[in-house]
Amino acid sequence: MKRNKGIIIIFFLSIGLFGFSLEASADSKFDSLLMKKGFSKDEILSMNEDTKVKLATSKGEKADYTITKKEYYNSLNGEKYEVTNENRDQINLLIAKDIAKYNKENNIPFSNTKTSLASISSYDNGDDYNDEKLSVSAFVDKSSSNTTEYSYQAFLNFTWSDYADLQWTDNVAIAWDDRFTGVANSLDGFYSYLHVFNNNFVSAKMDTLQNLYGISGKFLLPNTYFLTGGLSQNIKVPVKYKNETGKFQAKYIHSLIPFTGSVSIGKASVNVPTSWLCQEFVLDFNIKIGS
Amino acid sequence: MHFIIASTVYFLLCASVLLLNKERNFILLLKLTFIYILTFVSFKTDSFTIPIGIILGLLFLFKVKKDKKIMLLTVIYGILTNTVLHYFTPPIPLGYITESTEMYEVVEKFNEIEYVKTFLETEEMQLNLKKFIDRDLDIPYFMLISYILIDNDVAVNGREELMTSPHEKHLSGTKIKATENTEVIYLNYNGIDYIGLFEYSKGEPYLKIVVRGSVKKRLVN
Repeated sequence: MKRNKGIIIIFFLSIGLFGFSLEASADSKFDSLLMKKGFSKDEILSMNEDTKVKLATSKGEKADYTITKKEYYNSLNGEKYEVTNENRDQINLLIAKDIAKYNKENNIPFSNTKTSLASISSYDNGDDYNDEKLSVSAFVDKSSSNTTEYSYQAFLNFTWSDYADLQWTDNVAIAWDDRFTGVANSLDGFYSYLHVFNNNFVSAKMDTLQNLYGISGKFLLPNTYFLTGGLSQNIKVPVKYKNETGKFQAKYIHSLIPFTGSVSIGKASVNVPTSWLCQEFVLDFNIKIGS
Repeated sequence: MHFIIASTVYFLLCASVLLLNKERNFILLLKLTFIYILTFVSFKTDSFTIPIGIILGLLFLFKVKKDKKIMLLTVIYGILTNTVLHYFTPPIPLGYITESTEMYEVVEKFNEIEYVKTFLETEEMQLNLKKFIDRDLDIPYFMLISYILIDNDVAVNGREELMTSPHEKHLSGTKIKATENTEVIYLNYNGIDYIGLFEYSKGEPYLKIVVRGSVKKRLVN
């Protein structure tokens, strides 16, 4: 009897391990495919599963681009500050003051006066923002080409690995210059999060919008300790612009007070109304068209 | 439109009578309906209108002895409805009201207007605007670009030329509104502003209204 029990335990353990190894091998298979396409280890690490699968299974390769990262804070007095490692502490103090002032003026109880994202540090060589809570990254994949057009896929990817202190409506957007055009019906915006009570993953569609020079999405930041999501669209550019430098901008806007309305999209620029008290995480792309 | 207003008032009248007179009387309801409808009878010429129905209603009011209060109320409702319909309601069908609202929505964005054009879904113009556009592209955006180029006598010879025109011809703008059935797009070409309103019919967009002129500063900003 004891021997039979042992066999049953070994049987189930082996099934479990087999399943786990299959999942792990699928994951590493996507990683190696992405490496072959030209994505770095850090870039792969910052991708969520959905983006990973989309990029790994696409027929294309990583587009040729360089990225500049910037972070801004839109203060209550309408002034926009660029946040650097040197002024981060002062800006965090200013954010705390602004939130307290806003809450006092709008009669929001002191218990709801939360703090902002603090001490965001970014990778020196990567294309993402990362601290203990939020990481934002963006990718462009050159998916195909024909005699007249090049096709690309643009992705913005984010992950909250801890509770966001302030849970209002956050916005994400990608903008491109007027040489590019968005492909109709290819816009996708999603997010999924761990439900705090039943610990299940909840998937939801973002409220998305396609404009002339880009796409945007907004969603209510849930009260969860894990959230991931992304925004993507297929884009085309005439072959005529081969070897020219195209411009893209990806932006994550973390709201610090409740807002209505949406961001506006210009040529390779995502514009946030000056009245919005928020943090902006910006990734500017210079992309070599056709490469 | 007139019918909807008149019917609404009639139901209001019936409700008021029911509140005044708790007793449900079919004959009274018939009388009330007759007098209310009678107030709409009139004799019209090009220069004047004689409200025969209202005059007869007032005469009837003097003759009647029973339920005088209710009859008076009916005549008052009739007179008020006729006044509203005659002086305050535009003589257009309900469908046109929504169209006027759409038109106003576009026109109010302009400071100066050179022209307002409206097109039908069946007009040949729609096919000309879609000539080099396939389903991959943002159809309303490129239809408006085609329209602007045609309006400025700029020839477009193919899809690639159309796709490069925003960059080459310095056309820029924004999508003002995008719903399931309507899209409103603003574009500027050589300092001239255009706003196009597109409507979807059987999943296909068509240019319904286009306004050319100079928009208010806030839209450009």
